[in-house]
Amino acid sequence: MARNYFDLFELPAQFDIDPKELAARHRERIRVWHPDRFAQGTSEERRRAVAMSADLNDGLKVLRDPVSRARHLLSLRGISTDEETDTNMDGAFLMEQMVWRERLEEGAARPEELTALAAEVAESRDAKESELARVLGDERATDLGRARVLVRELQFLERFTRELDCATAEAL
Amino acid sequence: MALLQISEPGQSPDPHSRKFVAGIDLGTTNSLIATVRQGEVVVLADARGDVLLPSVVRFHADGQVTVGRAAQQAEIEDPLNTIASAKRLMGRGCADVVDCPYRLACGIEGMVRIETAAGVKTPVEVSAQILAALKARLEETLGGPLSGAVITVPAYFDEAQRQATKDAARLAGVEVLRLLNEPTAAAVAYGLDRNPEGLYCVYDLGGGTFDVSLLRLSEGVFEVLATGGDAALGGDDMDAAVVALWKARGAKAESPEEIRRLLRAARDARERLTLETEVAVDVAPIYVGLLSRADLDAAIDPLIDRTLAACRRVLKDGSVRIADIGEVVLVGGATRTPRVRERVGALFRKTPLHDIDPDRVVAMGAARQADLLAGNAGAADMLLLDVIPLSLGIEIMGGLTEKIIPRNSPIPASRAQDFTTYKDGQGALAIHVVQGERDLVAECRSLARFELRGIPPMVAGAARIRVTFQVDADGLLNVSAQETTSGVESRVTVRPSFGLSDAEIERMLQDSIASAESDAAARALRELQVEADRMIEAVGAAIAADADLLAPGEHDIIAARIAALKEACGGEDPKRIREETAALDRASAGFAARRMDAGLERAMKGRSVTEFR
Repeated sequence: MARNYFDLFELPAQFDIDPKELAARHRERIRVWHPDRFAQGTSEERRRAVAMSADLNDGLKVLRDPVSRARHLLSLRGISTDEETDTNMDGAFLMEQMVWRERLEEGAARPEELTALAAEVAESRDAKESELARVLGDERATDLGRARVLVRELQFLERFTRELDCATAEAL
Repeated sequence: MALLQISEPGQSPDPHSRKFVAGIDLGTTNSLIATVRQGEVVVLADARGDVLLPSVVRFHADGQVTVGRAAQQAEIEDPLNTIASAKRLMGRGCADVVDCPYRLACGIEGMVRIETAAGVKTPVEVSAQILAALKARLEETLGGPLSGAVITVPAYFDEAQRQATKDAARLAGVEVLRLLNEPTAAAVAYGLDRNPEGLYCVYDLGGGTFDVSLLRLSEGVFEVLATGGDAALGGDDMDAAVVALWKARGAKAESPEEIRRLLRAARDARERLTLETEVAVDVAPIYVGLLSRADLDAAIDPLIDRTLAACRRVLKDGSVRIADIGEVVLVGGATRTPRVRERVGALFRKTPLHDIDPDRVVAMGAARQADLLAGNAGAADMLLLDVIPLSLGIEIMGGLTEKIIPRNSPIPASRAQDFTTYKDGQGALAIHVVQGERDLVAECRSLARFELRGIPPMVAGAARIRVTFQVDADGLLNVSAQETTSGVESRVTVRPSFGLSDAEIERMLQDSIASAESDAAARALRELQVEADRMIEAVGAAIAADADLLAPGEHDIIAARIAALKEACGGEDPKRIREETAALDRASAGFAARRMDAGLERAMKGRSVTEFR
């Protein structure tokens, strides 16, 4: 079973968290657990310090990003967002992806076209993240099915954004 | 003559309570050792008063070894047995090395080997000689043994290069407290000196490596946001660029001696051009001519371009804009070049800092970190949060890389990922660990291969193989793999493909200088005894500090194990010492865990007073 990172930072298991509070909690814990604090310690202390610090760093990373935070929340409730075992996606969403992909390929030589596309993708991501915050906001969140769809779509968009960034960097 | 030191009243250092620990900058061109004495960092000099030890080692046919200036002076008369810039060969295979001035013994798997008059040597052995010379310098100066050191490595060093550095320390008999990234060490030296807050960019161009790191300093925490660079780019390449220019102008150099002479002249001319605008070059009969600063600038501009591209990438990785950067710090001898300062200043739109000697700053920061790790009273209260420079991943179907821990992840780091089988009834899985940013495995650095065997027969895709990567605070990797439905497990400490095997290290320990006074078995025994002593001391200190956390009867159990371990240490049986050390570790594990939890609670309470006021 995966570790519960909300517990690690003593935060409520919900989508809405204060990023500053998360960072502060990570900082105060890593100050205590960092292996440098146990350089003169026993082997057991040093092993635990490495493992705990690694968990804290991974936990910060998972909870800081909205999509991975949502994935983590869903996995804590036994819902997998794995793409490999489930390729079933919304038709309209896939259609939009295909159109965007074509524009990405055609835009390779035109930076301004890529910039426009990036703005559109960012807008779509923002809308989905806001909706995710609505359906997954607090501990009573119930529409987990919708949250799962949103997470999967956002993962697609994340990957597409990375490719788009690469293409933009090359075109410039 | 050395001045006698008088300590401040009331601060009289007790020689028995203080451990001699040091920061070592194991550089491509020069190496240094520094330590903290009475709160001040001291960079230690040799008998002549030189703090820079040229990283040059000469192997004589009779087995004698000279290190430093004496070796450097023989560079031209004995170029094949006098090894300089060995750092560039650390953790490298033959295929990685181009344009090496030595006779390489190729056709052997693994790390590069150099043929010398004293036999075949690895870069690890060369580096060990340099470390041993620095260790001897400290022990002569301070009059006591070196108990541990923080050794710096380029931030951009990969796993194999880091492991090779650790192996060199082991050969030299230097206990590594931590491998510390050079730009981070430099930031510590600047940060503790000025105590500023905000974003720092450290531009570190040494003899053979280039690093750039972006750090955020706040309240004694040095947090690396992103790091980048090139593990094979530095002053040596500038020299080569100048030599290429001279060759284009008619210089004829064929033999190793001639090439060495030209390289030496290039370095010399480059250094003189820091202050002058034109210098005369006389390497008769190979080459005679003039070199202007404009010539030099044109020759090295392509190299500087590469460093600036790395700077831009790091800014992007750290999501930082140029305008947000508070200070730019220059580190490394090659940053004395006016053209480098000019172009770095132009990129960041501010004058870079270089008021701490760029040759010493790394060793100074490392000494501070060593002082802290040794638990010395009065050590600076700071915390370094570093990152891994290159992504770690494994090979998946089709020769592709799946990244498990992306570059710039904070360390220690740990990440698990699930994989599955690809054929029905597949009973084993080969795991190939790679490091690098490219999608194709062939374009990444191969770190290690291992196998997970004994997977029960299942249809393709049914097995769940969880591969866990753990990177420790030195940036070194441990990998384990487990089939989660059956529990079959396999675990490796990565010994890089371009590294040395344990057996090789054993052999080297036998021939090494450090073990000249004793044989390898005695050496191994001593290592175990040191570890056991450390353990006894740590557990004793823990009991003294937190006796109230001991469970009923626990004190007696632990005390019995300590007594047994002490007795084992008095004997000569390595197996028994190892077993008793492990037994004490097990017996005190519960106590250690409670102490750590209590420590966390105390820290949280301390916070709530200030934070929820």
